[in-house]
Amino acid sequence: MLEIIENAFQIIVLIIFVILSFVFGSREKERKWTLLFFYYSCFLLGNAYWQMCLFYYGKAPQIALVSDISWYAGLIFLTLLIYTEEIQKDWKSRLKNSSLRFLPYLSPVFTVAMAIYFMQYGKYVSNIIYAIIMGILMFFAIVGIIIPYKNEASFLCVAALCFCLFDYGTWIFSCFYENTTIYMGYYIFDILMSLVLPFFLIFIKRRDAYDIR
Amino acid sequence: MIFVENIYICLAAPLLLAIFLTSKEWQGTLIALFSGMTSCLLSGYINAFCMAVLDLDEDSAIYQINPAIEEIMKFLPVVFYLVIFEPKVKDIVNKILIISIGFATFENVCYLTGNGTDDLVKLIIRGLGTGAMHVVCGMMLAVGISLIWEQEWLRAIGILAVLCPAITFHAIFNIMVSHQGVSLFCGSAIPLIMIDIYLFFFKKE
Repeated sequence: MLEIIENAFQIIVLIIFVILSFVFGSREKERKWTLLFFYYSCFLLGNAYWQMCLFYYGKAPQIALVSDISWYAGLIFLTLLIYTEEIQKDWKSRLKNSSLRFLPYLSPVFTVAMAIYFMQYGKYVSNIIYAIIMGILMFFAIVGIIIPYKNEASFLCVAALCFCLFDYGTWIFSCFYENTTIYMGYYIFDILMSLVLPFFLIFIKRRDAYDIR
Repeated sequence: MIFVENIYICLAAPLLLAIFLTSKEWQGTLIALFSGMTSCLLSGYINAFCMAVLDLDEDSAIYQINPAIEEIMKFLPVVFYLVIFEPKVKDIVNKILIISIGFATFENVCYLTGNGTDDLVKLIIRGLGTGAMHVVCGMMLAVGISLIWEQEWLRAIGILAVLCPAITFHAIFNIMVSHQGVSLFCGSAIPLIMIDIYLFFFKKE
């Protein structure tokens, strides 16, 4: 029951921001709004499918292929958004000259380590795919933070990194489903993910307003 | 037991003849229709295989793996067409819709053969709902591809990302229509409403 309520909250947040990104996208007709719209939509559809399964069948799907594919797509769109909006074309040379150039390379190490940890519970293919996608997303998020575009702090990359870390938080706590106290951490991190979602739109709008000035 | 191959031969044979006999401008459309039906047939085999491998019953497979397999199989002729012929955006949209219609038509004929033709209301709901769902999924693919195809670097990643909303929408539809009553009615109505919205607001664009 708590999972249904908490998923419903995330779905409501996603619906609002799907509509908002669609409205802004149809007004301004820029790629970033399309990417943002697809990101929100893919996550919404994945969550809606999960919620449907909980509502109709009272349990999560045995094979979560459909929702996993939607979430992969959402993460890919978020990666594309970060890459097109926050990463400069000469990022490789700028990263080499940065004192924190080793930091982005920690992200694939982290995601691979987490994938190996989660594989003890099965779902080998899914964990490998998540490790690759999250590794790339977190890599570019950290690059965007270290080498900010136009020397302005990349709040979009910070939001993306927080989203990834909260997502990993939910996955870690979901492993302790037998202990109801520890499992509460899953709901906390999922709510935190829901609270980070609006910031992608807010930071893009803020960047637009900054560029106009 | 339904012999879907026999149904396929009965439906595909006239189409194949028409492909050879019609003019070039019609051949593309008929080939797309034929490809849709072929995808549907092959999807059935792959669904049965995956159900056996993953040890799923039919009721679970309908919403857990069938949508992904069917949408990917529907998308394969599209990928072939895109990569080999490099068509204009308008042609892509039309071909995707025709492939989806071919798929839906064959699926409905198989359903008809397996479940009989007695209940007209149920058949209307099934025919319109499922047909509209496949068309909506096709439209999602068409819109997505028209947005990403111009940028070469986006194509590979974009294909996956474009396929996903179609798969999820299909799965949600299957969940809703597999339960009787209001759920079946709403599930069947949603794709029809979406098509109406598209025709009213976006067709001209």
